[in-house]
This record gives sequence, structure tokens and C-alpha cells, in this order.
Amino acid sequence: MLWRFLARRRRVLTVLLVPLAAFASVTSTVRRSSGSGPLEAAAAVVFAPLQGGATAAVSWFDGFWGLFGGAGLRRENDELRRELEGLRREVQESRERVAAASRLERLLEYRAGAAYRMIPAGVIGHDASGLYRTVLIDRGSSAGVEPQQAVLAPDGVVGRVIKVFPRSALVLLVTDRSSGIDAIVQRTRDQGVVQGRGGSGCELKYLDRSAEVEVGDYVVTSGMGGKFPKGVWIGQVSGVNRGGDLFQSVDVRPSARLERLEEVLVVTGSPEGGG
Amino acid sequence: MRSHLAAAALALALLTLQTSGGAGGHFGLRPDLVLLFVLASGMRRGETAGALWGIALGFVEDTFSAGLPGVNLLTKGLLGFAAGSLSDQLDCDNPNTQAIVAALATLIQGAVQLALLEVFSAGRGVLAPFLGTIAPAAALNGALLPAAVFARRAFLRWRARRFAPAGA
Repeated sequence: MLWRFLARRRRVLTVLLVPLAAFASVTSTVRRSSGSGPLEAAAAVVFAPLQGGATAAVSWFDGFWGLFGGAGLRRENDELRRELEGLRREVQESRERVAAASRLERLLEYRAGAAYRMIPAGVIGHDASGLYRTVLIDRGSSAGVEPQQAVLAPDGVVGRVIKVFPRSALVLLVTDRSSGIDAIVQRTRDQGVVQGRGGSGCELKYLDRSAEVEVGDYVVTSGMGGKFPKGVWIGQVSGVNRGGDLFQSVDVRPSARLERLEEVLVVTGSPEGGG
Repeated sequence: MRSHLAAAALALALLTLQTSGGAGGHFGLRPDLVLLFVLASGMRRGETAGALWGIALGFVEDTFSAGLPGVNLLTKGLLGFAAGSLSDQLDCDNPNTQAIVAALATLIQGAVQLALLEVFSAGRGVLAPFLGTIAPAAALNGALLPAAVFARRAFLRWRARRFAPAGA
């Protein structure tokens, strides 16, 4: 009797099931301020190893394919690029040390960002829709990863953790439109917020019109909020637009190669040992 | 039973491929393989199968997405249901119909996602992502669904010939 009733109204019940399931999903997510629910965690535990394997296979295939496209040239190019990145990093670190030393004048000892506790993680997935700029990493709550922790690469800021599962975590990249990081222009010490543009670039917002920012200036993290270490390279100014607004708009090209991320560092603790 | 298991394995593979960067450029144009699977399930097995696959796969996509919770579940569930409901009235064997259904569904899903983001999230803008991401993905999906259906039929024909009982 009941089965016949359900079978007769299958269409109505099915179409009602969809918004009900969506509502249940929304309410269960809203009730949790951070982390993931049991169903999400189960899905993540099942999929994270598969994604890791698929990403490794795709990476291997790319490398294998590259063997047919001028292996020597590619190797030489990679070595030169690594060397250039190393030199640029050294220059950037030197500039930051000089700026900090002259500003603080023996008042405090400047500590390098490496004093923060960090754990390495591999990138195992990307956003499926193309509407967001996110990556999935292979470290989760079991390794001490928590929401809002900073994620860095050797050449600059990558983003921050927004969702944590037992063995994986979702990282919002600095180029996503909903990403915002407190920043300063290294040369002028003017403060603003670096916000993603959704593509491959960022914008330095809320920068005072009087700030004399120039193309080529370096933008670094300000350290405000305590999540990002101070003085980490975010990017380089690629354009300045002093419009009629209260603030000027500055284009920033991220320093980290976000399209080719393979390994990242998650900042899990401050130098003082806090979280 | 065997066909259900095969469908589940295919769904798992497509979902993995979609979220691991194997379905296209890392941040460039990429097809929505999961949506294509949901539409194909709806057109082939009816509205209940389409809606259930949409709910299940949409939920997993939401888990790994930075977007609003439940959006993929809702859009894919409803599109799977719609594809199943309309399958009686549409010539689902026609490649043109498959292409139009895939392209339209991608556009509808993208428009709904962007509209909800505009309402509930900080204004991301609708036109630029719609023209830059959704519209090219719709064109790609429109080409992929008929190709995938054709490939499946060719495989089934080959298998039937290869494993046909002797003397049949």
C-alpha cells in the first residue's frame, strides 16, 4: 500500500528530495563554524588518496610527454629558472632585512619568517568548476592543519586554509576573489589589502592615493592578524591606476607560481609557539 | 546490478579526474565531466536516477569547493531530474539534442551558481566569469556529451561482437 503510494508519487518525491538534501547540506555546514561534518569527512577520506594518485599520474604523464619535446632544453631551462628564483628570493630577503633594520634601529631583533613552525604538504587537487581558485593539499587535521592557517611556497604566499578534513585540506589561493590579505608595499611601507581578481592576478586595495607606488615595487605581508608571517613576498606591482576614487588601485602579479603548485608549506604555529 | 556498479565506478573515476587537474588545464578551460554523467544518467535511466546521481556527486563536489554549501547538490540534482523528465519528449539518441542539453545545462548551472554567489557572497561580478568560464565550458560540454555517447555505443557494439556466443 505504502510502496504503491510512493511509486505513484515518485516524480513529486524525487523533485522534493533535491531541495531537501540541499537544505540539509546547507544547515549542517552553517551549524559548524569550521572543520567538516562526518559525511564530508568520509567523502574526503575516500577521495583524497584517489585524487593524489590521479594528480601524480597526470604529473608523470606530463613529464613523460616532455621527454619528446626537447628534454635537454627543458632541463636547462628549469635549472636557470631555479637559479633565477633563488637569486630573486635572496634579493627580496635582503631588501626586507634592510628595510626592517633601518626602521626599527636596534629596537627589536628582526626574525626571519622561517622561525614559524611549518609543515610541508603536496597539492593533490584543484577546483572542479573553474569559478574558484582553490587547491586541495594532502595534509589535514591529523597533521595539525586548522582553518585560516597561512599557506606559503618558497617564492611567496599561496593562500589560506578554508576547509579541513582528516587527511586533506582545501586552500583558498591568493588570486580568488574572496581572498584578502593585509599587505604593505615594501619600499614605501604603505598599507593595503591584497585581493584576488579571480584570474591569475591580484589587486592591492585601500591604498591611500598619496602613496607613491611604482611598477616593480614588492608587496609583502604586513603580519597583521597573526596568521601570516610578516614580510613574506606576495607579489610585485605590475600596474598603478590613480583614479578619481579615495584610494588608488594597484595591480599585483603573485610571486608564487600558483598554476604549477606541487608542494606548499602550511604555517601551523608562531615563533612563540602559539597557534 | 553489474551496470549499476559500472556506473558507480565511472562516476568515481570522472569525479577524481575532475578534481585532480586531469580533466584539463589547472585553471583554464575544463569540461564538467560530472554534470555530463548526471545528464546522461537522467536521459538514459530516468528522473530518479538523474536526481540521485546529481545529489550524490554534487555533495562530493561541494565538499571540495570553496563555494556556497549545497549549490552543486541543488543544481546537479535538479538538472539530473529535468534531463530525466524531458527524456520522454526529446529525441535523446540525436547528437544535436545531446549537445544542446549539455550546453544549456552548463549555462543554467553556471548562471544559478553565479547568481547565488552574487546574492550571498561578496560581489564577484556575473558577466566576466559567465563569459570567461561558463560559456566556453558550455561549448566544450556540448561537444563532449555526443562524443561520449557515441564512444559508449561503439564500445558496446564492439563488446557484443567480440564476446558474442559462437554460432549466434
